[in-house]
Amino acid sequence: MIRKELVAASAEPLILSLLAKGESYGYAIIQEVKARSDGKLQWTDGMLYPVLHRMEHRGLIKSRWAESETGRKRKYYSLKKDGKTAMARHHEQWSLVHGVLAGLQKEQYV
Amino acid sequence: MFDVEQSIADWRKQMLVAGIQTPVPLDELESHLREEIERQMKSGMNEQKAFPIAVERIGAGNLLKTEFKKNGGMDKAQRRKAAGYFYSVILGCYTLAVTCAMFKYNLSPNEWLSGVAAQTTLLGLAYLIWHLAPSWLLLITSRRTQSAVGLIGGISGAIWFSIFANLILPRFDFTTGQLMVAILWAMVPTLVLPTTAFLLLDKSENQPSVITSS
Repeated sequence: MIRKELVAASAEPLILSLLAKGESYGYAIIQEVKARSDGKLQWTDGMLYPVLHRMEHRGLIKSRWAESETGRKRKYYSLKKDGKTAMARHHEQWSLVHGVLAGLQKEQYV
Repeated sequence: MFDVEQSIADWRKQMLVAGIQTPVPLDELESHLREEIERQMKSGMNEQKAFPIAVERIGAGNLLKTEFKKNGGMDKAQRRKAAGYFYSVILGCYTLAVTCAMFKYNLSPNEWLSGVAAQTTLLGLAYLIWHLAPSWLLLITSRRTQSAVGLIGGISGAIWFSIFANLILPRFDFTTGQLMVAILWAMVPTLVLPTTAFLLLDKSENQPSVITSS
């Protein structure tokens, strides 16, 4: 299981990256993260919403209520301009960390 | 007989008691709860078994409330932006008032020059401190030192102006124009120093978010 702190730190970049593909809603975001991580990234479902609201409050994303094809009301989120900038910054930082770790790991096998 | 609608209504009441605001967060959580119940039922469960699983996945109301409560305030970037607007308005009003006063009191060309120089110095210093101080602050790693420098910056502006008005000014016999120019120069540290104080003292970050309750 991935450490709680790492899961929390990765939430914002993951949400931003998922929303960069198109608007989505909380339940779908959780299911997609779960599927892409083979169930290893476990979020407590309800905890996603305070994070989404905080990101909206910071102007990274926006939301709208709409009806799904089944008639259920859903709150859809989409990326704003500041969100795209934040996502690029996250990608840069996570790539840097990944690059350093990968380099160190490679050295261990040399 | 299990009634899912009644169970959802009871769950909403529990969430309200726990302090989850209505309508937006609670409606959104309910929408999520219904999606999860539906998914569980598609995998072969009945409503009675699916409901408690979905409720557990959503998480406890008190934990959610704690997380939602963190959304109330502004983060550091927003506070800086708001303070920047506030500070710009103060300096703008002050510059306007000074310009009007300089016209009103018929300053000599030299006094005008000195007055404009004082005002330009004030605005230039305020701009420089606002933009450069955040990177300078990284040099002060001790929080105690940061607080000390911040407090000194904050009160020294007021102390300086008090010294100027009560001890320095009475020693000179200024004309109106000279008095005005002297005050303009005295106002430079009075208005610039509190900026440093804000930048140094505003180090409270928002609490980090949590996305797992385990």
